[in-house]
Amino acid sequence: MKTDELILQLAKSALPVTPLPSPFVRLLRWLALAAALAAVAVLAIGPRADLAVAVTRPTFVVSLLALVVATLSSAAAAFVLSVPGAGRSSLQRALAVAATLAWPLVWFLVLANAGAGRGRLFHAGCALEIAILSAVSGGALIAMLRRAAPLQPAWTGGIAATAAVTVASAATQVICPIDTAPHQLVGHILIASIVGSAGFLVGWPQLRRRTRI
Amino acid sequence: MTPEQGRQSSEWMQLAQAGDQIAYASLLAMLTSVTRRFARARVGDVGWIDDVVQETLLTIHGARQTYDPARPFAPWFYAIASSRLIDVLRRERRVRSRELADDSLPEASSAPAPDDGIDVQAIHAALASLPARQRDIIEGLKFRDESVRDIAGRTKMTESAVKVTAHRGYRTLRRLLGGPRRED
Repeated sequence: MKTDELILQLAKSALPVTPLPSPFVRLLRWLALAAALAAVAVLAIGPRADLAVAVTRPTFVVSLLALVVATLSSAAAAFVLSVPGAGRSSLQRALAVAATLAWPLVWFLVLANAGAGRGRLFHAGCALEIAILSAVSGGALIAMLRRAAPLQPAWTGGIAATAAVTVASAATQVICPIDTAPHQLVGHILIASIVGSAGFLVGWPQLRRRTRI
Repeated sequence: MTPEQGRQSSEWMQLAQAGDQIAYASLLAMLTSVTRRFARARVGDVGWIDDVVQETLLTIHGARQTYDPARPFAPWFYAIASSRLIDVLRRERRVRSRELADDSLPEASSAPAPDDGIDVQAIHAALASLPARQRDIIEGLKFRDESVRDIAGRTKMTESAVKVTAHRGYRTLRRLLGGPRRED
């Protein structure tokens, strides 16, 4: 096909479109949805009984803070990446990666300093919470990103999956009363890694299809 | 892109977002020459510059809702053009790596060629070397009697994208089969 013919075809098929809101506005919308989902899950299942005590423990607070920062920075980076030419900085992605890595690091440090402790290694409830919350919040995020134009679908899909599993893991941490390092590393972090990888494998082709021929 | 072209592009894109097809055609026509110059400046006068141009136009078409009229046009446009240039460059490298070198082409069969002189083996070899999507579309159009609309529905592509992909496949086949190269 000649380029002139392509231009005519594209022009003929050009229906009016509504410009997308800025990445910041779309980030706020997704965060509102993800926070609402997390709140519903916490209220439906019930927060851990010792939550008032847990929030005074540095390990719990640092771990939760790392998850919240990872969610915010990953989702922000994903929305920025989905708009061609939007102001993006490597710092944003670096922050997302650093905050995500800080989460297991906290629990590895606890394992090294305080030992394994007593408690279950794996709990199906935690895995289900992480999987379901990740799937719903991640699905919504991918749908929102698909409305834009993610020119780097692999990066966008990866950090979108990270945002989804970290928000799900944050909610699960508020619900789960087991604060031992082995449980957190296996029952939460390993499960989140598996769910995140699966989410990436599902989400990446969706984003790729959006911008590739 | 000059500052004047950037300003004009922004205006045309705002009109295009509102459904003005003439402004949109004018914008795409201008971006065609800008993209061609942009690509030539980076990869030289290669035979697939038009692929970069068409990929860029198609991406702009699908991404036009992401242009924010409050922001300059040039960074938005060059992000798309750079991305498509890299994609086409990678694809061309893949295609080249799959092409058979002349000295490894299969020997001509001792059996007499069909009356019409078509070397079926060479056509099959050339088809097999195409990227999967191009091969599927060409086989659909030529061997399975599928229409462009059928293929677009099956592959979830636009009809325009199916035609463009088929066109690129034909061009690669022509090159592989040693036929005359037709420039767009």
